[in-house]
Amino acid sequence: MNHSVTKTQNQSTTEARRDSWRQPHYEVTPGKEVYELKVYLPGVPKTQAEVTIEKDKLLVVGRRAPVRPENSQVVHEELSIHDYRLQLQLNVNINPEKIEAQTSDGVLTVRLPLAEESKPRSITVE
Amino acid sequence: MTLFKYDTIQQDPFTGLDALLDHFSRGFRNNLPDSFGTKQVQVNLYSTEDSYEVRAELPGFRKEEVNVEIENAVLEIRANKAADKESGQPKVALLRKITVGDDVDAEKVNARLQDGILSIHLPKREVRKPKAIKVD
Repeated sequence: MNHSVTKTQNQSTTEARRDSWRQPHYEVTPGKEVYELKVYLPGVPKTQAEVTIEKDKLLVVGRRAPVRPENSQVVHEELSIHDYRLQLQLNVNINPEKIEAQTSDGVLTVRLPLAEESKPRSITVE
Repeated sequence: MTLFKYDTIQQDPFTGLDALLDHFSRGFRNNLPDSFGTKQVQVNLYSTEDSYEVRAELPGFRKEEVNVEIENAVLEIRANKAADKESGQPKVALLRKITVGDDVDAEKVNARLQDGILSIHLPKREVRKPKAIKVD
């Protein structure tokens, strides 16, 4: 009996940790053919940033690397310890095959090319 | 056309409130004349047996844009990004001053910038060991 109680407690703590997300700051630069999304993810190494797109939902998840040095005492802490999570609903059709993402200096840049049907088209007046 | 249906940065009524609360929690330290027009850098400070360690968040800054100075036990972190007309990026200036103990060996301080996190290593001076004096 005791054993099962501990197990449930453990589960709830894992879930609680998973729920503690923080929405990162982001910027969108619109373009004619490509939209550029910049997400500020300080403290997230390259391998820990993830971009997924499912239908019209774009999800960015970034996991922080710990900043606390080993065998150290905390004097003062201001930085958030939470991982980053940003979910955005797309308003335009994106070509999911051609999405490019890269990180540099803690900023994730996602290039979202518009799908053919969403591109602006000039119509010749006859 | 906007890329996202609900662009929270534009529409979230709490964004402004968050910024205000942020300002309160930092105790209006930005009101110092020296840091006028700058934002404050968030920092963590740790102490180990032989050094102090500072961690600061500076996403999007290249190492040429970050300046770290130490003078009279005050550590100063400055980050400046010039305005970029092409992408519409405005000028960004960040400043943070931290008073560190006078036991820091200023000559041996080093800093590193990786993944938007600035790590500053401040070695402590060798502790003056208690010296036993023999009474003759």
